[in-house]
Amino acid sequence: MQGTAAKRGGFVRVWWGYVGLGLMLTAGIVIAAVLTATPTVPQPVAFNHRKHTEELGLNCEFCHVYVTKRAHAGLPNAQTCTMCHQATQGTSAEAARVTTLLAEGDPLTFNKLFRLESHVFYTHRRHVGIAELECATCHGAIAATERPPARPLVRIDMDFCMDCHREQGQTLDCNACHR
Amino acid sequence: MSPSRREFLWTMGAAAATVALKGAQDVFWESDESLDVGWVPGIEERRNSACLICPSRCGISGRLVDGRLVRINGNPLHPLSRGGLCPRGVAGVQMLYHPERLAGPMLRAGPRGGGQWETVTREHAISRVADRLGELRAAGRPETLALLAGYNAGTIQDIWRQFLHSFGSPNYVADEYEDGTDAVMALMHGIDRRPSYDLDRARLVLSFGAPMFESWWSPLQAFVAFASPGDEAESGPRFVQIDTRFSRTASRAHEWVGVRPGTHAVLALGIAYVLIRDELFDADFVARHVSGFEDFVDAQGQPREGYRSLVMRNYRTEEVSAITGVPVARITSLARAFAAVRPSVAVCGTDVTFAPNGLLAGLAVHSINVLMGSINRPGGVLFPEDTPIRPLATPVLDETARAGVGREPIGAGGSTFASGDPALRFAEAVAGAQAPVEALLLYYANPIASSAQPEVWREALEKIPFVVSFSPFLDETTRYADVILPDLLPYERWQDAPTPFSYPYPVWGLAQPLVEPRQGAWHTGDVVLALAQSLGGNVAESLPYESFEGLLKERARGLFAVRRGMTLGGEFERTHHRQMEERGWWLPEHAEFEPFWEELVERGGWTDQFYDHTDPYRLARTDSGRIELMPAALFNALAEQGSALRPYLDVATPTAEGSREFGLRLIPYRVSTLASGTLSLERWLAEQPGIFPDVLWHPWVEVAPETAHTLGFSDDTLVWVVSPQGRYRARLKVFPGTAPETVCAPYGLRQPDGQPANPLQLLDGSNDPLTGLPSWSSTFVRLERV
Amino acid sequence: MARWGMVIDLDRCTGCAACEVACKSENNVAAVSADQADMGRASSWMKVMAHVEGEFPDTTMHFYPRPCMHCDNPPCIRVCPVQATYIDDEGIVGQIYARCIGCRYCANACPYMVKYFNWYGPEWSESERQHLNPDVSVRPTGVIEKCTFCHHRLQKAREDARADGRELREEDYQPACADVCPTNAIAFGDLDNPSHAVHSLKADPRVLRLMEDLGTQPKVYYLRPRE
Repeated sequence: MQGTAAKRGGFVRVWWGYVGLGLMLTAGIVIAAVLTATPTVPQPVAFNHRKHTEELGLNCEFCHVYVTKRAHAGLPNAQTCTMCHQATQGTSAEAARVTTLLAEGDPLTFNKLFRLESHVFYTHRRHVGIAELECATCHGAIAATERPPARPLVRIDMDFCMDCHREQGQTLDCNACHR
Repeated sequence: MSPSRREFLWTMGAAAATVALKGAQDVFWESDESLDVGWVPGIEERRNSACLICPSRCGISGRLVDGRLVRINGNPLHPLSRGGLCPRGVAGVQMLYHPERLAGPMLRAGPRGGGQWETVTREHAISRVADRLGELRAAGRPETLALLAGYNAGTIQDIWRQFLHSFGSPNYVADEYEDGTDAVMALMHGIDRRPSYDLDRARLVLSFGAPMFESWWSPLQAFVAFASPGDEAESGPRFVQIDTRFSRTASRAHEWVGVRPGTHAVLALGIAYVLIRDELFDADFVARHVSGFEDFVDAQGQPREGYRSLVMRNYRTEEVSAITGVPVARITSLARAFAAVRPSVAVCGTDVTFAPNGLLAGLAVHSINVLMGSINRPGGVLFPEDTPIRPLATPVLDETARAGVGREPIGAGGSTFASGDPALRFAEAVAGAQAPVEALLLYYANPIASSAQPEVWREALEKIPFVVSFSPFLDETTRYADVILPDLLPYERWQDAPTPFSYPYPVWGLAQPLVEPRQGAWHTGDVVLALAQSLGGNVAESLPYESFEGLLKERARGLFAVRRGMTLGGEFERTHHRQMEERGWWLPEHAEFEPFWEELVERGGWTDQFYDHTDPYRLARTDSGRIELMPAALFNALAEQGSALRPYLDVATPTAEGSREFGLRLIPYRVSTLASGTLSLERWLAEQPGIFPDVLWHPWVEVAPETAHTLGFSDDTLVWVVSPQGRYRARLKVFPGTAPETVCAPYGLRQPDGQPANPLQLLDGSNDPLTGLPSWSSTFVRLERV
Repeated sequence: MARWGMVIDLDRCTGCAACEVACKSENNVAAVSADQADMGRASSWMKVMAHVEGEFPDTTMHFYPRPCMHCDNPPCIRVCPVQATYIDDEGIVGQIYARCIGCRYCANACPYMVKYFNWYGPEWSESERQHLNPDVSVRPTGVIEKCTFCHHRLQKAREDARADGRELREEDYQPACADVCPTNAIAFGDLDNPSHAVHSLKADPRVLRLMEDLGTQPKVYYLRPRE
């Protein structure tokens, strides 16, 4: 009798133990998720990459003008869009909205989707201009998207960089990328 | 063995915690969100300009990223600075982006100095000033307008002067760095300008108390000469510093000669004695170009002793050694080196001229240049031509203006041969109600912080009903202003930047805006032009220019037309041009003015590296056509003043002993080049104020170890420096380079809270009656523990 | 493979401290307040030290600009528990801020005292952020920082050279201190490259390295002042 009771008491304690463990794990995961979640990136208009690349045949450099020359690839601004969208292109409502926005003098500030930490020394010039990497190597199928992705398509972290550097036989020196 | 439950729980808990921490670490590396400016193209640009922080006016090259000024580097094309820069120049970015910069024009709202301001538009502020000045003119009292100007040079000074002149005010009051050498040159050479020194080509530079590596006219000029690939190993010392204080210059010169305070000139005459005794001087030069060397009969028919007799009779090396504390052998070897290592030049600094007999001491120091013929020769004292920029329009004067400018400037007539401290005399006259001033303009002057007598300035400001300041910062004096029209900062404005007198070739540096000017601020040059326009009449006619930038371009046409010189270029181009011009050649590089101007802006200025060493007009412009060792004007002035002083005899500061109460001699010195009124603003400079690596931010004074020991003070003791005139707080630094019984006190520092710590406020107020320059080394102080 | 090093001529150094301020400007080194400076918390990757000898009037004073010595045998890397500080193939001692846990072992191990700890995040006002150099990260609280021989300049110079299809030249890569020095007291380059000035300067009979007896093998050489 006494043994069973003790056993049952033990079971209860174990059960509470697992609940506690579960709570701890959940809390840990929630905290981690909150803290590491990449915030969604809003864009001023629902830009259709596929339309511009595959259908119209524009190359990436057309809008990302600095991609072979500078650290940042560059994002298009109202001036770039005006080249074509001064008059409404196509039939979509969004295209019409672009023309209206441009006419209203909206600067069409696009937001950066792929971000690097500020302590990383990275230049597009080195990777695209000199090493002639494909944009898709790091940016995935961005050119084929039909609406702005809310989050980066590829998680670019140190492992991602290092894997490629190893494959390509490039520098693995810390100083080469940490500034 | 399976893990126990406790172990399992710990493991899982730890895992969860690790996940959480890893997340936290990522967040940690998001670091400062506000630093993330989002997407920027990172477009880099380098643009040449000129540094406007001190009189040296070095060439700079700004590194711009997306229109932000990120770094200030040297401009390698600039012939004076050649790519080097001093720390003040580099720290300029912190001035440009200083958080305390004024946002725009302001009018005083509450009582004077109450700190209440009303923000207004430019137009409002300027019409307020124009109305007030217009009233003064309408009332026929234009002379009651005064301008107090700190160091400025070139076109901005020219238009200020033109503005005041055509307005009818004689009161351009200079509050700037003076060294009294212009009076020396005027007396001996009849050339009323400061001397230039050809340091590049001099093989021996004897500096008499000139702080060449610290706060001289141009430390960069000295640095470049010091660093030029000389043959110092073979030819012995090239820089010899004769100084009371073991200064930074003294420590880094090839040789330091320590002299007792106020006896520099005695040593100079001791050198002259050896030069004459051993017949080492340039007898040919003296015979052909110098008067007053031999005994002579003056205009009144009185026989007088000449230079030779005076020196031979009074400056035997033993006597000089006893006065100066320099051993006889050292005096002899200095003199021999000065004669043997040609070309050699003696540079006269403020330690010589800031003394009760400063002018006579300056004459004595310069006389050894005359003895060696180091005048108008390569490596000597030169008198370059002015930069041939186009002059301003001829000023137009109406009745009011003519009457106004005919009046005596306020505070004038203090001394015979130099203007001394005209700012202080002005303040005294105003404070004493001897002269009414109804409007005062402040341009880069902050006398309440920089003056030796801020109380007099406070009183004077109270008597002036209308004060306008152009300062970009709310400095001590600007707090008393009624209207503030903040100027653009350097790096935002157009300004010509002529090199200082010490540099022997004309250089017209050009500062151009590197960044977009801050909204609200306005170029003071444009304000002056706008004021002239709104005053109308002859004032407007005298300054018929649309903008300051346009005016500079107009003036550059003079450089284009002159058929000599070049836009700034590298060493090869400079040498090439000089050699061509020496042979009488000059080839135009631009057929049209526009491309010439564009190149001038791009390279940062214009220079002419040719100097005509054969031009006798650059040797002496006296009536006799000779260099006068015994200038008649000096004797007349001394007789007029009833002064008992005798040239070449009374050249030392009268020996004074400290009293029991104040036993330590105070020796103030400038820490780095400081134009008056602009004390250190930049935090990086506050962290690097001097030679003591552990003194950051705090003002300090230096005393010798034994003096500190006697007084019972140790390193870093917080002390009051007390003189009968006042006191201030500083940290005591024990420094073996300080002479016993003296206190060396840096000038130009502030307390961490921004209060000035100004040793000049302790000075005894004595000055040289001939030049009006203050005496810096005749005050005695005591130290008290705080 | 280059081996970067520096030679500082003590005869030419006038102690003006342009190098010190240029370094702060180039590397976004924030000034601390006076109180913090009193506690020894000011950072100065390059610091001009004064060395005074003798008594007045027989005094001598020399200035030693003191950057990180970039030792070939750096004591700091031996004590770092997380490999945040290390020496790269070209001899530059790096400090990887993202790895640094702020234990300050390296700061204590360094005999030259050139490692600075960030007691708190840099205080840049809104306007002062304008002059930050985008090539250098702004260090957060709790990490050690130090002179890097301006290695971001090496990255950029190398990239420029590669883009132009040429070799890296001596003048392409100069740290900010060497760049600004008005008396050219600081020479910088590849110690192993005979065409670089430092190669011959380090063989000068006046050459001296600080605390060489510790076996640190610094790559910053000084030229002892002539007597």
